[in-house]
Amino acid sequence: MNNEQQQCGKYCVFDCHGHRFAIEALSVRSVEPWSPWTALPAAPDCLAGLACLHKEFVPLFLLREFVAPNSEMSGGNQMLFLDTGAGAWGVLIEQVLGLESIEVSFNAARGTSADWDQVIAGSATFQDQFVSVIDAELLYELLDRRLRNYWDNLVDGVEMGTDSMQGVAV
Amino acid sequence: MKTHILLGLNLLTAFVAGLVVATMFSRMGSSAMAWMVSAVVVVAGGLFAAHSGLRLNRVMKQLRSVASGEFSLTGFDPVGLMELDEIVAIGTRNLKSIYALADSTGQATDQLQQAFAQLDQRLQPAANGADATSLEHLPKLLNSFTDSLNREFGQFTTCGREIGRAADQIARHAETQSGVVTQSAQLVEQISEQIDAVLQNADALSSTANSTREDSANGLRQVDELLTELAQVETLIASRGKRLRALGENTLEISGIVETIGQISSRTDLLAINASIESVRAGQHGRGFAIVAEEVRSLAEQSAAAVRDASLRIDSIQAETQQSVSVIDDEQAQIQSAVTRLQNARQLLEKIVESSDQAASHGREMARDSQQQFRLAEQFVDHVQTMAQTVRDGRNEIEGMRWTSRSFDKLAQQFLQRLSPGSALPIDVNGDYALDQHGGLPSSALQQQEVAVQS
Repeated sequence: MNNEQQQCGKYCVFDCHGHRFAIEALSVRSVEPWSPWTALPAAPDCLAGLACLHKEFVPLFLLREFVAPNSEMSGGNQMLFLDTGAGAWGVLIEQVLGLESIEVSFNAARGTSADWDQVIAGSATFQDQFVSVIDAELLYELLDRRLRNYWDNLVDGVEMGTDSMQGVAV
Repeated sequence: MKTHILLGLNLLTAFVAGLVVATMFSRMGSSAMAWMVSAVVVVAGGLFAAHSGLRLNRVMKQLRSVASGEFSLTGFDPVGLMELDEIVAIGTRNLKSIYALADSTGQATDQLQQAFAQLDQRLQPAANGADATSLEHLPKLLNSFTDSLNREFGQFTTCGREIGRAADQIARHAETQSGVVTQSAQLVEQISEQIDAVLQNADALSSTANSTREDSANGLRQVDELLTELAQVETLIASRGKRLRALGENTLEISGIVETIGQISSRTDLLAINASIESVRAGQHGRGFAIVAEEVRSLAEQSAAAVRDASLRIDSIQAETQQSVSVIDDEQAQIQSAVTRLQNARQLLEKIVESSDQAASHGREMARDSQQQFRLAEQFVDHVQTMAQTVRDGRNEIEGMRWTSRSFDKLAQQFLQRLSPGSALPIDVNGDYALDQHGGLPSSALQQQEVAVQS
């Protein structure tokens, strides 16, 4: 798979929370302008809600928790929808700068754990600026695990009779 | 008749003096006070003139009665003027002496007639051979008669001399009066000259006020023209402001259009990106599509750049338009302020024109009053000159009276010399008799006459 990515060499460069990232172009499904989405109850901070992409409901995630935890900004002006093996999902970003062929320096110790540090697969430069290259698969796993853990903890709290279910619409 | 003229002239003089005082007070600004004072002056002058005229008329009547012999020696009524009372008293005393002389002359005539009768009676017996010793009484009788005549004529001469002295006093008083009248005439002429100067000043004031009024009227016309031009400028500026505001509104609309174009450009850019993504996903089959998508994206970026440039220019135009509108608003405010100040200046000029009209009217009235005062002063000078001429005529008449008195004295002297030939009457250096303190001939002269008669 890594060989295919290297053969393509096309990356989608975008800004998110003041940082510049690049993601493999083959994993990008489309870029859409900002449109309202539907928030979900009892959702973690990384899940904004469900967005409509060509009459298909896809989850929309926020990267603020990982990129700028102390930032008050909610997101951006555009939605970057990705398509990995698990299906389509989206990320709220500021704007897409372009679809460019960039030379990526991958990290030497690349792992398979869904951790934010592992999600940043490498680095590159675009228009004389530093760009962090994101591994879309690992990012999805990270987000999926974060959701599972959150809801598992939420269900455990309900069964133990704690107040963690307060405010959650069931 | 001259006394009446003098009385009339006195009344006219008082009236003119009252008018002059009233005019001077009215020019000082208190017309009611002026007319009150002038009325008091006129009434006082009239009363004084009437009183003086009546007294003078009474004196003239008494003098006329003295001259006609109808004067009552016991009924003298003093007129209050010291000199005239003295003159009348002297005349009365002289008249008394003349009457006494006439009485004594009548008595002497009676005695003479009796003596002639006795002489006739005695001459008849002598002619008939009777006793002629009674002729010895004739010289004594003649001597006594001469002595009596001498005394009476002496008193008569004294009376004439007193009349002459009184005439001298009247002449001196008339001369003094003439001097006073001349001074009054000079004073009135000075007043007349001052009135003439006031008249010239009033004419100059009226001329200056008229000139000021014309200048103010010119200024008023210029202010009106300026106000009209400012109104036109204000209209032009308002029209320009409207056009600039319309330009700003059009620019806003253009800005909206540019914004829409920008949105379209952004969407086109996104579409181009998505097309590029699809071409990448298509692999080798999508390579041509990727080139087209890249071109579309390039056009979208150029459109976005043009939109940004247009937005900047539109923003600049809007800022300049707003600044121009603000400048026009300031200009309109300044023009409004200038119009307000010009309207205030116009009101001030209207007040100046009105004040100049009033000043010119006052100047004309002052000139008219001054002309009337000048004419009255000229009439007053004429009347004063008439009074002076009357006084000079009176003085000439008094001079004639004095010469008549002296002629009468000379006649009396000649009569006495003829009556007593060879007698030496005491005559002073002026040819007058040297009388005693009682107004009679000195006793030495009488003795000489008596000796002359006896011899």
